[in-house]
Amino acid sequence: MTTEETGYNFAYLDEDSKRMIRRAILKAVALPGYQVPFAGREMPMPYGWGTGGIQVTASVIGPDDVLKVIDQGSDDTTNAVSIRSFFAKTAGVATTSRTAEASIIQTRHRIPERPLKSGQIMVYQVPIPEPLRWLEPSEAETRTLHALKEYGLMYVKLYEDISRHGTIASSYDYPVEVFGRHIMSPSPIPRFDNPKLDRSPALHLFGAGREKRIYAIPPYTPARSLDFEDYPFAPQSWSQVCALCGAADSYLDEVVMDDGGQRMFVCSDSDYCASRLEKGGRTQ
Amino acid sequence: MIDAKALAPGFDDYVVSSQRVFRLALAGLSRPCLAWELNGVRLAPQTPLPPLAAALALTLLDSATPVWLSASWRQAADWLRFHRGCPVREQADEAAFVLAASPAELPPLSALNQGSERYPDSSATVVLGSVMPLDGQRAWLAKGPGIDGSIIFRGHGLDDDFLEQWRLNRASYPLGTDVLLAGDKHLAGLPRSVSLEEWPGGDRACM
Repeated sequence: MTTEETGYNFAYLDEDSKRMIRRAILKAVALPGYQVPFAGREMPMPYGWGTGGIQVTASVIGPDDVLKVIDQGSDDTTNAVSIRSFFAKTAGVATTSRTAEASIIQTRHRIPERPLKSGQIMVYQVPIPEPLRWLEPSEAETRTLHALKEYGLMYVKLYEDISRHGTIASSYDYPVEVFGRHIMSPSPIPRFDNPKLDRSPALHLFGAGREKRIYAIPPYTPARSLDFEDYPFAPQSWSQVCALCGAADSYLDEVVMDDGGQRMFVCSDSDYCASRLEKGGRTQ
Repeated sequence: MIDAKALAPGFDDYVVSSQRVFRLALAGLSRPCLAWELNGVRLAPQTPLPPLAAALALTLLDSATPVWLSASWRQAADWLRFHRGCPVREQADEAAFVLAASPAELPPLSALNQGSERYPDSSATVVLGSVMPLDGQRAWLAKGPGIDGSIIFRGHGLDDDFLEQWRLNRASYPLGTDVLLAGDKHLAGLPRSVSLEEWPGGDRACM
């Protein structure tokens, strides 16, 4: 157990900042998929390490919450471990690696395989919140495009993918249309996870620290992955199953085993894999 | 001379209580038209606003949020200034938070700050008192984000005029105001994304 640090406010962030972020979160929930600007604070870690997600979690979390943090699906990676111990130290909250037991799940790159429940809150660390940014560098211009619901540019990009690669090539950060209105970046989750956003019973909150934006998908809100009638959206799939637990329905990471090119595929969601093994799944 | 009432205490423990009240508001807006009970909040007994409205004001207001108060709640202006340092406005359309004691004292929603095309989040948030989230005689069908399919909503104290105003508010999406209905102990949220229609099934029957 990590011991709680003293000398900080609960969950590190000061109350004025929390209040400002809380107001932004409430507006984000009322405007699904719309990016609310907020006065992002410096956090005791560099941009790119999840400062947006941490500010959202710090503003939402209370003493009764149970926090899970994952990075690339795993509870054991550096970023996940350090953020989890950050909140264990500064808020004294309970932490878990089990998806079912968590009330707040902060994540980078993945949505857990285990279906989320009503009442759970997902917090995403977002590097580039603007789905149109690579197509239009000006913030004033992209704001106008969102205001006018002028998303032709995005469809041209997807069309160019098809003309060049024969398929929509984006494998992560695949744009979604939320509540039939705003096009939104789901953060760098693989497109395998996109269907989990659609009408999810959980609340999804997205925080971009460097870009200073907060946005949300409330529960039971349609989030449609963009596609064309003749090129429908399809998540990734594998011909292998997980080499550890035998799961055929999870997102697999490819792990290189030796210099001879040996490789294996394993679940990226460490909790999902471990719980399947506990229940007597396959081992090697 | 400042009235002693203006110095009445707020939360016993601001950090914990304001977090709980925020989660209540978050639950209200992310799961609209359900009644969420205020629990575990230590609020002083003699606040000049009813407990739930006082808790929401202490949680959400500060110097960055101009506030407008309806006639019956105007006496809370000094108390709010003392606790939260928020500017109190005479004109409702200048306020980020509109605090109205009852639907009768609420200015037309269309007269409030609607936000701008590029920044629809800059619109007003309404805290509306004396509305008991689930007790109304009138049944409305609510649909939208946060609602699994549709739900019957009975906002006691809300009338056909409010329903008409809400239709206009919904029609201007993504512009529009968001409403927190504050009963005695229960809160319900009405974000601008939710649509309300009369439910022909009427009176007391449930789905």
